[in-house]
Amino acid sequence: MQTLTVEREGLLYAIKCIQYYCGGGYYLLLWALAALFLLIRGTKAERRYFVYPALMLLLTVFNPVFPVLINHFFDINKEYYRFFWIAPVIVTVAYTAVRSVFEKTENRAGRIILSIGILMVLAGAGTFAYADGYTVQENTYKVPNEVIAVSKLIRENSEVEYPVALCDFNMQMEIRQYDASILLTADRTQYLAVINNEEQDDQVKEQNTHVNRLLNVITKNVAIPEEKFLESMQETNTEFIVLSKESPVIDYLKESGLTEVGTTGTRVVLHYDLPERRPMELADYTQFWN
Amino acid sequence: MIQLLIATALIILNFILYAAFGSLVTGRLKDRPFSATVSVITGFFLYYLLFELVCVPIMLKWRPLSLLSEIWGVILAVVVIAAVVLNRKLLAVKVSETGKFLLSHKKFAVLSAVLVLAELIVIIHAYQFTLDAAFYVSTATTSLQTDMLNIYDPYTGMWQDHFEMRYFFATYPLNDAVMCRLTGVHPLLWTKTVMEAGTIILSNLIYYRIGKHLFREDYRKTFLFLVFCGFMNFFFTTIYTASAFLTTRTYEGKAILGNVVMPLIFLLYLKLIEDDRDKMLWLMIFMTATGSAVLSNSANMLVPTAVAVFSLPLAVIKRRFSVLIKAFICVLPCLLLVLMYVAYVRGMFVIYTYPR
Repeated sequence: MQTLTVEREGLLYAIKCIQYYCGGGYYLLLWALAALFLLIRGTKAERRYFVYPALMLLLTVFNPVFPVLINHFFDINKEYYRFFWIAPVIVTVAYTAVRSVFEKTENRAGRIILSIGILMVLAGAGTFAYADGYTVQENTYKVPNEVIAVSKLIRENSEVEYPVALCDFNMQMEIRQYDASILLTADRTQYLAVINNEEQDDQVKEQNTHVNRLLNVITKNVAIPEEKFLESMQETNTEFIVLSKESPVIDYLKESGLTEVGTTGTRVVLHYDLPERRPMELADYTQFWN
Repeated sequence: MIQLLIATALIILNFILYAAFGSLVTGRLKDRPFSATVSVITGFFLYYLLFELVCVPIMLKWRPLSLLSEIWGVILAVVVIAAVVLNRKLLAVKVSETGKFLLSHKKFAVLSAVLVLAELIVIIHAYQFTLDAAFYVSTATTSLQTDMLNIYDPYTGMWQDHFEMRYFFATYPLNDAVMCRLTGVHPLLWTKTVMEAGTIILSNLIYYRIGKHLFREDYRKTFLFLVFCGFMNFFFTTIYTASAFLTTRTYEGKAILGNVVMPLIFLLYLKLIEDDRDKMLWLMIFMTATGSAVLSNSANMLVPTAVAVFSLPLAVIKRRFSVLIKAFICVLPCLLLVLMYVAYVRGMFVIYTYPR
């Protein structure tokens, strides 16, 4: 939960985490109701199985004091929600549902109808994993075909074993999953910092001067003097830029000396002939092996 | 089509390997019946625990992936041969027993298989754009490309002067790289199909064991339990839930942590309520805790907390303080790794990727 911090939220942190965790759904509520039902109507064994752990969880990970306490020792701000995984929500709700189905009715048809009813409640209590649409994979690699086409274009137009490229965000996140011989100018943190306008401390800003400059050009269309742009291309050893065909900076890049080496469905691949090429080579570790 | 056949064969191979590892423990137990599902689950954690013990020293000595792959290939061969030789009598009996079980519970077996297959098809067939794949899958592709282990930044491919301790002991993606090297398949096929399928099947196996335990081997109830569990995993899906990791980020170690490790700890708690002095169950908790450290750095915090959450009521129910001591011993390796990570974050040590 990137936007929440224990320092800022204090005792409200756990509550806000729970709200984020549930989204608009009611699964934690269903779990609490199932545990309550088993506390009242359950057998001794059922209480031991489900109710005692639920009470322990309420006293610990769902307790607003708990994150405040452990944050003194470890930074748990971003990942506290994972503690909620300990709660056996699915198992408890499913168990109670099965128990209800078999307790409420004896006949097969009744059980089927009740089960369908419960499934409808369960569907209504949450959000379908593919509510925003189900995208079928385009190939067995499970990356868009364009990733494969772009990496092929880069390989065909590079004279070095490890070409360096700067791509639009989605391509940036996927291209090295397919072909790790293509190096990238910016890492994920640098990329996200620029597109989200995150504050960088002076040391980081200085270290990232050239990367930030290039990212500002391709993601925000920030116009900078051509020589500064090319200086950053040289300093970062960047030979290729991959952008959407719709990107407004393509003309600027072409005017700065980059040439189009090809296009794919929605992207254009531009090449820059580095004045001073410093091909990346793998470090030689064999000398340390004896 | 060929890729699909290869992927299917590799999924089966993975389960044979887990079963072989597990059977070396479960096949030796004389006081309880041999179980294929328990062997697979035990084997999974034993597999990764052993991999960690082999991988970390090789990484520390800056040795190549190819060396790790050769050593791991030999270990896998030895384990499989040992499992077959040591369990040969048991295997014949168990294959026939499993056949009889499937025949006598034909409806349950077929319906459960259809249910899991449906989950597999829906999840594996979907394309998901997730940022963390840029790290996890690229760790495997980068390792294969450079023939080194965690020396190069998976995001950019650039050389790193020190190991990132957050991922140092979480060697799960390095096992992906090793298996890709041994089998020759692309890391994308391995991680996003073979391992995804493995996680979904393992998760269902644990739900099956929980259902079987809770409903005292009533397979009608167990099947309905599997239906509800599977269904809920598709609806309890804000980006933070374990179910969301199962349906969208299945190739990550964290998906296994949320959907295999956590339900398994709950299952072991159910078993311990019946007999908290069963050494095998405590050994299983120890293996799960230690093996989980390989999956994700988060496991080092999450597993001790989960074990504490379940062992405190257990200690009260059984009125035995020794339960807490056993639980503490089980999670000690995780706690040591947490302390190590905290020391690294506070700048107390760095492990460089070259001699200094």
